[in-house]
Amino acid sequence: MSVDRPTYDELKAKCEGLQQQITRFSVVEQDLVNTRDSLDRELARFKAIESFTKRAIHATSLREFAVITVESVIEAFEVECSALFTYDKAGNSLKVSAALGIGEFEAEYPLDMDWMAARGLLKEGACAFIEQPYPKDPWGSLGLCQVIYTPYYGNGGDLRGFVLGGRSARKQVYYDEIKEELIPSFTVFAQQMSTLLHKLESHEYLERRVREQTAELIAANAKLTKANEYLQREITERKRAEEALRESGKRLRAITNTATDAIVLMDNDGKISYWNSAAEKTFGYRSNEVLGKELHLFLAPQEFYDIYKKRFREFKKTGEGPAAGKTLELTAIKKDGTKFPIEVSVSSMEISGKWHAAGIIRDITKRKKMEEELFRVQKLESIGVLAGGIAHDFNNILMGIQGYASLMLMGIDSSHPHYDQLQGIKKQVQSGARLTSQLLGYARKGKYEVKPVSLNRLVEETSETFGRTRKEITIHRALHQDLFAIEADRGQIEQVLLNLYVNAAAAMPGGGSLILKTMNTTHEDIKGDVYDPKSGNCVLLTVTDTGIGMDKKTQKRIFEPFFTTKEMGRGTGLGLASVYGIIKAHSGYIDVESEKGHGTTFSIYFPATEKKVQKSDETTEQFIKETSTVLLVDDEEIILEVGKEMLEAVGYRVLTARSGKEAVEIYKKYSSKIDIILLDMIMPGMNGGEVYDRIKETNPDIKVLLSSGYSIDGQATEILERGCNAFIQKPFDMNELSGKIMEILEKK
Amino acid sequence: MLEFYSSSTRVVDSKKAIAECLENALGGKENLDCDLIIFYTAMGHDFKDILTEAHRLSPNAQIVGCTCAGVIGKEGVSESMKALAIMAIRGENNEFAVASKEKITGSSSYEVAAQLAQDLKNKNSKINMIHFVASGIDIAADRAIEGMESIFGPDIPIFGATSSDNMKAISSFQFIGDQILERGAVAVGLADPRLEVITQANHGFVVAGMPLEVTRSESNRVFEIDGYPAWKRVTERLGLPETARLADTIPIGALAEELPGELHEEYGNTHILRVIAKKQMDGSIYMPVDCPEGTKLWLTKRDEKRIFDGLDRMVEQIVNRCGGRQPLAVFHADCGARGRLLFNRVLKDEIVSRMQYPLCKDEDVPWLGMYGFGEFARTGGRNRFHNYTTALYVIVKRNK
Repeated sequence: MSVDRPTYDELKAKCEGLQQQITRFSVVEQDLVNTRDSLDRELARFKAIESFTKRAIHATSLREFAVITVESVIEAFEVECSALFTYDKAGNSLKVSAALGIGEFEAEYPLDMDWMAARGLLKEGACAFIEQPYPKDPWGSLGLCQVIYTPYYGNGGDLRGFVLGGRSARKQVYYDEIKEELIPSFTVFAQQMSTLLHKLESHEYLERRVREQTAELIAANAKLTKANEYLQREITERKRAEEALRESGKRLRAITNTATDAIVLMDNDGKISYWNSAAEKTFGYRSNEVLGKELHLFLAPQEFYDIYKKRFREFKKTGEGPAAGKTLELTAIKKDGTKFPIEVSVSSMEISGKWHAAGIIRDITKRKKMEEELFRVQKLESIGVLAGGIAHDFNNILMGIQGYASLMLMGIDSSHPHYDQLQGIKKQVQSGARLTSQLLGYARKGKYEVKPVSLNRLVEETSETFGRTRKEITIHRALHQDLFAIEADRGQIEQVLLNLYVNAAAAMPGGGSLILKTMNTTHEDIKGDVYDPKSGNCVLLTVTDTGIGMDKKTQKRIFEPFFTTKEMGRGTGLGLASVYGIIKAHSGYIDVESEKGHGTTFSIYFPATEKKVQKSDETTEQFIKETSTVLLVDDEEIILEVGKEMLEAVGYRVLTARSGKEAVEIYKKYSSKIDIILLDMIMPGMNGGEVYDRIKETNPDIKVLLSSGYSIDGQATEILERGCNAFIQKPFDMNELSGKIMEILEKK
Repeated sequence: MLEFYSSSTRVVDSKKAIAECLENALGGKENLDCDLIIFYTAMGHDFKDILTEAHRLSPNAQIVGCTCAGVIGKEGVSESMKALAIMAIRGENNEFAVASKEKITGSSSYEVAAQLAQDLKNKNSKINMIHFVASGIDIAADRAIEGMESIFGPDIPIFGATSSDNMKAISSFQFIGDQILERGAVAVGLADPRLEVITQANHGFVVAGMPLEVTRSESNRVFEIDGYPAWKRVTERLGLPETARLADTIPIGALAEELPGELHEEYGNTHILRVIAKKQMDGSIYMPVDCPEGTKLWLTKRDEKRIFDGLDRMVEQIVNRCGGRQPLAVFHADCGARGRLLFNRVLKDEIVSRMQYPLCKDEDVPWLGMYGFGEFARTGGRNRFHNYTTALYVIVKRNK
């Protein structure tokens, strides 16, 4: 059987037919694919709506809900942009709650409700519309070429706004046309959105209420917490205050109980409500004896009772009074009846709402005594300053007289008709010098040459001499064998002793005993409130007589200068005054105990020294002519004149200088020739101390004899400590001067 | 060594979308900075917002990208108008370079691509692979490949795609820094010598009927086929009216050129497909490659079985080429026609999982893919431009 083979054209036609069939099938297939894709998209939309529901239900605010809504519109409906509008009924406008994909938008879009209603756009119930925005559409100005939108309503059917999806003219070529097939799902979306919105609004309302109530609760709680904190603080503060009060009470009790002043509280009736330990000591009453009793009955002397009571009443009434807020000195009475001075200060206060008066009372007996003593001492001090000045000037005068008398005596012998008169002048000068010495002693300006000395030796020497002149007086000595040495000016201490002996003798006109005792002691044995002795060892000398004694009034005044119990013309009143001054100048202390008819005892304390006692120097009695050169420096013309003649008379060559400055210049000029300088200590301008220092700079080995009719306490000693060789007291005679100079020069 | 991180999202707010991608890719908000961001975005996004926000969040990163018809990430497929996917890269400055050129067209493709390649080379001479994205509207992709090869030589792997819109074939956009280009080309050269890229493409279409013949053309613009106006002839063969849109033709059938016989086995097909990139009012059409007169073009028909089989075969070949090496990152270009125009969501998800699972197993491998107009992948040891394919670019450590 033969088979007809198709020709090429037949095959080609068949192929093309098959091709066309394939093409048709392909078109059909693509339709199926497109349908499947449409179904896919519809399914995707509903999935997106479901996703929106899941997201939106968790929205916590309307703002978040609006954002989720517009994002979901774009995602579900593949539109370019979306917006959620809220209807503002009052303004008849729409406001954008959220938008995405829309460039810029207005704050609000006016609604032409009539126009919209006429077009059926406001029909109640969800219904979606697709259109090209008209100019009258609220979204007509958003630049969209196509929109799908639907109104949404509240539970009461009131228009709440619109939800919208759209595509812009700008990107319309890329976005698919919004087709009517979207309407059902868009409507479902809008319904879902509306339901969720109602829920959210309800939820938000509830939440807002909860928030508000929570805020109220928080505020109330905060107030409570604050009040509680305040109360806690208050309690804490009170506890602290109570504790502080207790502590304060403790401290107050401790203070009042350890106070040395009496502290007394009185109530409204003047009755004692508090009485401290010091009050017990001061007045002698225990607190249980006085509490609840009227203060004045106990403490005021009878004669002051009415005055004190009157003052208390005034103080209670006015708060004013002589002791209110200040101190007042009064006289009080102790349990044993002793009257004594007190110092009172009174103030008022409230304790537990009741008026009280607090009195601080100080026993000033001791202070009063001290004040009296101090006053006495100050009086003595001021007189001493005066006496010192007088002695200085007087010594300079005596120096001139003595000098000239000495010079005149040098040239004559005893046969000369003026010899006795000149000797008389000299004696009178010496007598005057003793007087100034007493004055200087009192003024404590005469402590010239301080050396370690034995008080026992001085007592022995002076008492022996004195005993020889006063046979009616028996002298008893009880001197400690190992008595400490003291640092003192031998001559001044001798003066002290002799003055005391003379004083004792005066008290024993018919004879008696003079008892002299020395012993070692310490500063702790020194009694007397006005003294503040340096701590350490002391030497005590007591001079006791069995004389007539003194009353207290006399005892208080015996150290005053020019005070004397002797008849006019018999005493100078300077003896005990100089004793007092000299002892003070030696940092010592003198006390007196006496009773009328029972004798007197002077107790004298000197600070002890560990330095060894030096043997006393022997002085020559004859003039030795010398050929050395003396530079005599003094601001007093008469001293220069007489001094120059005296020195030249014994063979010295003399240069003179009238001031410190001139002395320095002369020494610079003639230093190689000057062997010794006789230097006045007190000069105007450059004084003796400065001159000494300047000349010492030029020649450290220069010999200087310091002289003065007046020595500022400590100044001469200081210059001597700086290396000055010796001191000579004006007025001096030829013998004294010659001896001092020779002594210095011999040490060369 | 370069490190890769990826993420994709359907979030519709552009700023939120890029922020979410960066956060998910880089593992949290604390450290969003990186050195390079490559992103693919669908047409619906606000491109400026994406660039601004990306610069704000990763101020030190260089940013490149393009538009597409949809994205494919490790999270799956999204052909939403607001789809976005990124690949964030951290590395040293000397391990990569980026460059761009404007106005790449069919007639300028070679020159522009060559300049682009030269720019890359000037920036880094050690570039050993190029990720290339360019406007897919009227580009002559084969000429563009030649242009780049003229600088780097034929052995440099060029992988990527021509950018697209949402299959409207109107326009597409490319991004670099803060610039938005409309008909431009962007390239990322990677210069990490420790890395290599394995590329492969497959389409699964079958030839049906007799070939058409190009009878008048200029470069990639075809005026006449079989002596008729090109568009008229093509729609006629496809059974569509002449008024049909370009997008209408894509699912019905594709044009194809025959491959040399030695490539059939590797490619898994006898023909390489060509999609019509653009039609003109005068009835002429733009092809993605040069179509000199005399070129034979076959009509091909999709075949689901062959598509899936071909895909499995391709993935198996890649796994074999990996030789046990774990992919460090996968770039992926799929033809837009293989998206919603061809497959529904279920099938697309299956396609993607049939690629990702064999390659990544259960590992979290960064994956950045897009639906574009055409794909660049090597076949037969040469860089080639493909259409209607799925093309995978798997970056692995280079064998020692």
